[in-house]
Amino acid sequence: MAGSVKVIYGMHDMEAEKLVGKTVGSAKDALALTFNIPDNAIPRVNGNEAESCDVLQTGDTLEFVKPAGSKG
Amino acid sequence: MSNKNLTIVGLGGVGSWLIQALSPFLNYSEDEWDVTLVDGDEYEEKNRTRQAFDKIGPKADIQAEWVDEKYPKVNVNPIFGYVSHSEEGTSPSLIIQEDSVVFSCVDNHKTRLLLQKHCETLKNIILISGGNELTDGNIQIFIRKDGENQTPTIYDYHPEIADPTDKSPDEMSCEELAVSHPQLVVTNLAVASGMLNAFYSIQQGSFNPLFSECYIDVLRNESKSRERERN
Repeated sequence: MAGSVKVIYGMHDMEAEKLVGKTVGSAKDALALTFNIPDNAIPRVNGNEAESCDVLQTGDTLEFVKPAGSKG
Repeated sequence: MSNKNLTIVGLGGVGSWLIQALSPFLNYSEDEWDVTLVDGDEYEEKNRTRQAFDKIGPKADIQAEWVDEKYPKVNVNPIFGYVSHSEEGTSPSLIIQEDSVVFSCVDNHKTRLLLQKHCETLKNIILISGGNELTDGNIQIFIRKDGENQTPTIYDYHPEIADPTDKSPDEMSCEELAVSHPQLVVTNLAVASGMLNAFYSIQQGSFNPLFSECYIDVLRNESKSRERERN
């Protein structure tokens, strides 16, 4: 089994086998519409800030941190 | 035994529900609570669509009257004004004491950052910060114990809070203050409820500081805590 990457955006999360070996930037391009990820969402891999060119490995957790609610 | 201190900043869509649900809990708890309510705004008829209040007037005073009347064991102190460095009576250092609980229910990141920065100067503090958009929102918890952060700050994962582009109410013109953005009472209430959940969890000693941010979504009818490592 090839393994997978866990992807998180706010409430959303999913396991994605197809993202293993892909870059953070290409993962964002692939998921932006599905998850409604804004351009300014900061990517983190396993909790650490990541660059667009970082390559995802099996077992990684990729989170695009959803901006905090601004109103109240 | 000395009283416990709690401050609620912002008494609008989130803060008004929060104080009205929190008051009975505090009133019937074993501890004596001193509660400071801070807001520079006034309740207007148009606020009735999503805010909990029974009279028109200064938000802090109206809520303090309500609490005092219904839950007299809670010692409540209203402060009319927006949290700001520029106003002496409402600077964070005057409204937030050491060893207290702060609920940030404000409607801008600039004030959230101001409250967070002050909390970082204290030795023991619990900051519970909430915010929402139309149908979703989040709750962030910052805990500092014996001078050490137990959780990330509320801006460590959020550059929009670290470097806010919005204005605090004391920087806005009357025209800017009068502009209201659409919000839903169900979302405000969900965020207030999530903040109270966090408070209760911390009080009971069952809060896991590794999961210091919780997202809520009223359309999906879900809430989910996310792992947040300290830097």
